[in-house]
Amino acid sequence: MAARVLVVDDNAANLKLLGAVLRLAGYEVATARDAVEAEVELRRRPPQAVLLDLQMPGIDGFTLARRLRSEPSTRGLPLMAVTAYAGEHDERRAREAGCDDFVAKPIDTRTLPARVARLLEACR
Amino acid sequence: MDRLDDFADALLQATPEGRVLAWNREAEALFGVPAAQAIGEDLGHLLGLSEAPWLEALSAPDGRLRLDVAVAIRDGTLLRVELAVRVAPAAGPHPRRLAISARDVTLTRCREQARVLETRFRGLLDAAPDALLIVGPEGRILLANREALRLFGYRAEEVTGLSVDALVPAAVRGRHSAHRSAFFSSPETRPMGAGRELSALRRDGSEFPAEISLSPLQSEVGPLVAAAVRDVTARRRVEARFRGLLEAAPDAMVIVDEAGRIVLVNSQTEQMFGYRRDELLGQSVEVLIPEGRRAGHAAFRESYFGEPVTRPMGSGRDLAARRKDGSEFPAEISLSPLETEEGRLVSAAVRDITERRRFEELRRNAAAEAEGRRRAEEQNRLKSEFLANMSHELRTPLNSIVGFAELIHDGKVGPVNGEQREYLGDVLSAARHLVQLITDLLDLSKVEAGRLDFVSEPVDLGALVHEVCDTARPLARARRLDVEVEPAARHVRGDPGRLRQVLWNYLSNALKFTADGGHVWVRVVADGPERIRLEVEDDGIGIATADQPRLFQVFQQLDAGSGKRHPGTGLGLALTRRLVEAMDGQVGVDSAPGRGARFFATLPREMPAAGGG
Repeated sequence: MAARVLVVDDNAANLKLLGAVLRLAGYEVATARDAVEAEVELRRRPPQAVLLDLQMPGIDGFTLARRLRSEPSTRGLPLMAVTAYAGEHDERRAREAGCDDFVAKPIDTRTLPARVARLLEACR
Repeated sequence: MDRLDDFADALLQATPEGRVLAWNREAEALFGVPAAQAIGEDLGHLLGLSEAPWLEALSAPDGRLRLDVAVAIRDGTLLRVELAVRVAPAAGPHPRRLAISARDVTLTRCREQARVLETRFRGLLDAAPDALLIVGPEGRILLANREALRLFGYRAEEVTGLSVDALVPAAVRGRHSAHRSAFFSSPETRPMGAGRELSALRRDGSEFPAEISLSPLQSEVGPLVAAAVRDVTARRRVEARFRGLLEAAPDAMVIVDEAGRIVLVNSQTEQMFGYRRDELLGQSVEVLIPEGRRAGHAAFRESYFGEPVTRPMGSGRDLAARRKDGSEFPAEISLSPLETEEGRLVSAAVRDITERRRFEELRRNAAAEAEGRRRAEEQNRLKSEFLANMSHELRTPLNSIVGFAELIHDGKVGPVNGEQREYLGDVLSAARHLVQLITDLLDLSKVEAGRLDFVSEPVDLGALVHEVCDTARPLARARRLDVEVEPAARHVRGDPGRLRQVLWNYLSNALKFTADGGHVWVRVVADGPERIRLEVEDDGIGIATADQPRLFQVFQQLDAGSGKRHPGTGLGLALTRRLVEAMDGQVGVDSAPGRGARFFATLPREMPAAGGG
């Protein structure tokens, strides 16, 4: 059975792109446009991994990552930051917030699916 | 002879050769020589004359002559004497002789001269603050101003014709006459207090210490001398009282009287202002003030004496003082009134604050610099923040452009024909260029603002160089890429990410400017015991020497031959330089047109860590 991946991004086009890339690679994709939608989706049907944007209106990606890490039910959930914050400083902050991997936008559509696969593998 | 004594005038007789034959009582009184001594003496000698002007009577048709001569009598007194000379012919046993009557006209002449001078000098004299005397060559006072009368205790009518000897204590009177004749023989202005401790005698017989300055004065009545006399009693007393105290003070101390005259100074004053003490004493304190401020100072001084209060150092005034050589210096001055028996004096402590001013200026400059730096840093920070935001805002839509273009280009969402694929490839290439531009710009701004982090950890340059070259192989295509890493230069400490970035920039640049079939070398070699050198050489078109300095500047892409611009952001080399410099290294290039180019970076084996945040 294909792994279910939740993508959280406030930008509709980016959300659509990530969804397309992952679906084409055979993943089952759920999407959320902000942290609240993400929480709803996580409860409705828990995914095997979350790809999250860091800068979002309201609750940002850093906060969402920390919350997922503090909840017993999502503590071990693989998290990948997919963000337009491209610096190492941003990567360090993302990892400190609990992200397992960090991908700067623009994403490489050719390598992203493999990277998600590695993340799932590593966190299993 | 007894006959002559009945006359009111001094009468005397002499041989044509000048030997005195007769000398009456009046002559005794006038010339101060008793008849017993005078008779038989030479008349010229008795009158202190080197010539014998009366001899002219011998050649006068009527044998008579009137003379007005200055004579010096025994005690040194000079008198103006009128002589009436008559040649008495030989009579009986008496040979031809000169009969002379002499009259003291000293006072008369003095009064005449005084009348002449009065109109010319009176106003001037009475306006002067000092005691002033105008004295004739015979040492007689012709005019005295009010201050002089007050000082010496004389009434105006007493003073005209008075010998100045009357104003000199008996003990020094003899010396004084000598001074006076010396002055008239070579008259020159002698300032007050030119190193002389003088004293003067009042009418009541009391003495006071005085300072006297003499100036020659030409007038219609002949050469005169103007003497300014200053009573320095107060100064002497103040000196006696304050000397020790003043010398102990660290500052230059200047004590000034109500007229603004310097009464006392300490040796610190001499050093600070370059004057000798005797050049200052009695002078107006304004000599120590810069010329432009003197008038203001005099006014200030007068109002200060009216209401003196102690004013501490540095009470908010920008003061300056003037040295003897005319140079000026910033000064801090504190004033305190001194009530003495001699009246109110003011003590001024003067401190040269040149050094402090210099220090303050340095501190101000440093503060201004710090402020400038702070502002520049703030501007850099705002710029970095702005660029970070821009970067984020640009990457978000670029993500969609690059991502969807890639999906279509790669045929992931349906078949594309060759032309579509080519055009999508162009979209991708342009978009990726834009991403690189944004990345470089952000890094450049961060490294300029010192906000880029550098770690310092062990780096295996052999592995790092091969990794970068492997990434570049697809770009190299038909070009040959050789790598050489000297074992001695292989292990360093630094930031692997930044080193990768530097090497990548050089390498991608070299590949870009090398034609198909060209050759690129990457080398890492030791550069002395402390440093290593990273080189990327190509056999491409090369760069003219004149263009080389611009290479490492922002947006300085060089036109290559045909005017075609090479792809690249124009930021790569500028960023490389900043990165290398931030790691304590230097960049450079050796090249000539048509002979390829060798870009290099020399770096310490131990590169420092740096943190921005």
